Amino acid sequence: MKAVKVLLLLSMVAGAVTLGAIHFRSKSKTTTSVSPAAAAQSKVDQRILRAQQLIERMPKQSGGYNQLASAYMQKARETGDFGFNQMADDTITRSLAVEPDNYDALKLRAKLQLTYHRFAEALETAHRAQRFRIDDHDVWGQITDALVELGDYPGAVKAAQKMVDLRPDSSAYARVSYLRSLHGDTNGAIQAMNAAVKAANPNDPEAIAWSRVQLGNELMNAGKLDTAEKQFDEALRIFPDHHLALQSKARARVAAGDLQGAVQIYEHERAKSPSADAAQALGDLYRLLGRGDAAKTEYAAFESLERENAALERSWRHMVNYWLDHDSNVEEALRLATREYESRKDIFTCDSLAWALFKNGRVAEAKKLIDEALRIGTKDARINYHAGVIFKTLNLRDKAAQHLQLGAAVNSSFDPVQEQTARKMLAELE
Amino acid sequence: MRRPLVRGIALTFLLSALALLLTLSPAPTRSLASSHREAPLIVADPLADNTDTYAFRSTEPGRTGFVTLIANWIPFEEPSGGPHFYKFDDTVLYEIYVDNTGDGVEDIAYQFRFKTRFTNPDSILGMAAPNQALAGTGGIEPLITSLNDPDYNEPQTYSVTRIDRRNGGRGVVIAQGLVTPPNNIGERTTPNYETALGQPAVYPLPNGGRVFAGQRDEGFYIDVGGAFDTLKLKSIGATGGVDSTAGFNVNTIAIEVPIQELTRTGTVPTGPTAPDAVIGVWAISSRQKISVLRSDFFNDDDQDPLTLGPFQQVSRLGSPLVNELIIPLKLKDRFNASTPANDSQFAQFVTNPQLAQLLSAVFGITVPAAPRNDLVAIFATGIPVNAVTGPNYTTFLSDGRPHEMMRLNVEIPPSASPSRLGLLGGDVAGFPNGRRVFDDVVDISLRAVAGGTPFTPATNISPNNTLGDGVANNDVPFLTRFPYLGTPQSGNSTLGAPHQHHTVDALPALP
Repeated sequence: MKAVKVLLLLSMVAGAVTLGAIHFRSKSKTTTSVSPAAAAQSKVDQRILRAQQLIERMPKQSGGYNQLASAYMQKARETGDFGFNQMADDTITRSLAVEPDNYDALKLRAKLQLTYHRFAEALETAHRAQRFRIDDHDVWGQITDALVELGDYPGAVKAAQKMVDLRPDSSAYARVSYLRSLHGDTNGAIQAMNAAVKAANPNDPEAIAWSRVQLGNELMNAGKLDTAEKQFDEALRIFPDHHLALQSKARARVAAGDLQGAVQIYEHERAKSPSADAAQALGDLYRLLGRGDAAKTEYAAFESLERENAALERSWRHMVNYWLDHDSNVEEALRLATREYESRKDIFTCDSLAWALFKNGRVAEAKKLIDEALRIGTKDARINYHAGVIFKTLNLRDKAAQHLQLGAAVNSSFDPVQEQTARKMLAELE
Repeated sequence: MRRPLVRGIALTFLLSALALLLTLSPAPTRSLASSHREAPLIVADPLADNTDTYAFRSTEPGRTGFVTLIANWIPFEEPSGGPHFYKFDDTVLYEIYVDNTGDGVEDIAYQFRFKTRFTNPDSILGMAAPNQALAGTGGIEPLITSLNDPDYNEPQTYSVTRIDRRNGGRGVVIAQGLVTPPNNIGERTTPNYETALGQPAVYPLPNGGRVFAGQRDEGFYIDVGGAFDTLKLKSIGATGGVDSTAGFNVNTIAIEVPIQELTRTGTVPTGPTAPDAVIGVWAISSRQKISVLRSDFFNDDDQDPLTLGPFQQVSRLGSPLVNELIIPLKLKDRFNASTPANDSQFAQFVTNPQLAQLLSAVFGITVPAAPRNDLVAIFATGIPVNAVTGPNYTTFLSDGRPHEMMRLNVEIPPSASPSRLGLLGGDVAGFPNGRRVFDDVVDISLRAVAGGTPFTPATNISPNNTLGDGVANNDVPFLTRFPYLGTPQSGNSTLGAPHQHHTVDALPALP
């Protein structure tokens, strides 16, 4: 009993320290937003307290630890402070110590590993959970996510099918939609995402907004800009300033030729939160609009923010892609892309490595990797653009034209700077 | 996992479910790079989530030959529900099942399919829109005064199909094109709600019965803290509690049918001990499966046929609180996908419920030893005719195996002086003989699990037989007429005090 109290005290102290850290962080940023989640902070703090009380009463049972871990994870998401995820991880370890292999702790650990992009470990944990229960819809969802990120698409399709068959719901439909999209079935992806939107929890505005953004993105890929933008507007009505909705809305504005409108949206987002994605997009737009100095500032902001992200997400892909697109650090980019490819073979990792090889003059190897990136027929603008360039260099003119055209057809998810290059190249081929 | 939070979790002290639910549902994040598309992992599915099932002999004057079946979905509807409000899900199959042979397989099914149309699809305002103003025929604010009002922008219609296994399971559409009322948006938008919109949505059926589908006040009442606060023990007794579900609405499907439409013989039974007098009732909802990859998607026509597959049951509810009190958390998905025919797999949780041990630990009381055949009778086989309940009382309906259903003896007439405690209050017309809207199923179930009933005389003592949550009434009056559940809470009340409710966050600290 005493030991537990000490432990509790320690965790409370740790909590206070981390809260202090948040405070400090907030001050160090130019602006902080009060998101709907911020208002909910007291709720999650209550949950933390309640869980600590439960641990005190029932220290030999895993329930309290699992609640505490879960509350810490929520806190991490609401504050963006990953320190809470570390505390969650420690708490899960304690839960597994009092009740080895308890099911809820395994599920939480797999979820945390997915958040940390430890996909292989997440897969292993989920499989361990399945030794106790094979028919859990949620665990099949975790396995789907891990396999998608690792690039095992046939395995992911099987896992997602299992998830759907056990319990069709919004989260299962959403995974079906993404897998269809990855396999080049845009209309099918739209259908499934429509089902996900309809089945979304009406009490969870964020879930509805998230689903509508995904639906809108697929509609953009199908070239249906107007209906797509309606989805983003609806998402923003339901969940104002949803960051994914803002970014998609801005891309829709770019696709409609309204660069100024897109700039306004990104500037709004940048003022609210330290978003690397928004900084990069804004840099691109400033560059297009001839505002070189402003672009430089945003690119610098992107680099510093993305370094933080890369460390947290254990993935340098965005940074690698940025360097390659800007013809800087290409050797370092190749080194990091190669390292990432050792741990996962998803099409986006293959694409990054292909592009890095190309930029380092290793065109034959680049072709091998871009073929891997194209292996499930994904209609992704960036991959198809890279394929077009690589094939053109190898004088595979038909294939080059085919992929450049495909890329142009789904340009809306692509960045506007490279889109111009792609169109020029396509014109040369024709 | 997917049970209404207050009940499923607080009642069993398994707050980890809530924690998981909240943690794993999507939440706004500081925007990390979006390379890893994090779909919601575990989400609640309230549109397909059964919350309560009721079955009782109709008590409205002039309806003596009828049984009313009610099933609720969508827990914790905020009355000020915008921007979406709460409709049934057009893609969910909602059903009420009746077993009249005791094998746990439905013999009669009532299916409800919904379809939303948009009066003005361009409006972004949702359920109510100033369509009359746009047409130059009305005021600037949307005003819904009837079910066919043009300002009712998203009227949802539904059909009722009856399936009778004796007819080879062929479905017969007994009603279609019926309109659900809008949500009770507020005095300005939906004035005189019950008279103008609620009652007109009660439709007659060709069999002489009636049907209603739409929003109602949440009639289930419970004080989570009162039931379990060991420090104050305010829970022992009928008062002093706080209705934790007050101020919320639900979506209700209510259907009233002649007794003979439900019985094994197709006739009105000769008396309460006749072999065809007891029926078993439960409600389910199902969603369509979908094939992850489509084999043929090369046409770019967006009129592609929908590739949704067969229905899969995702939720089930018969007797109240069984899903919350009896079934362990990790088996909830399996229970929700299962049928009463296969309930033997859950029998161990009835014969030795975890809640009994918890009650014993929390209140320091002695509970009956396992196996709990008293609970098996109440929840899984029905109560046989015996000395305790009297020669004319039985809810027994079983082929010898356990089947969890809400059992109703259709030949026990409505009580002249009903008790919220049903059988425990000497009122044989109430729970566990079916369930009326006002039955205090929390107090009854707590006492039953603690052994405070006549079926276990040794433990039928105080405090076992006085356990309760201190709430004896719903916050809103029930109707004395079909569909019995009260008028939904107004989303923007200008009359009287604003609605108040105690959310999940108002839960007291755990004992």
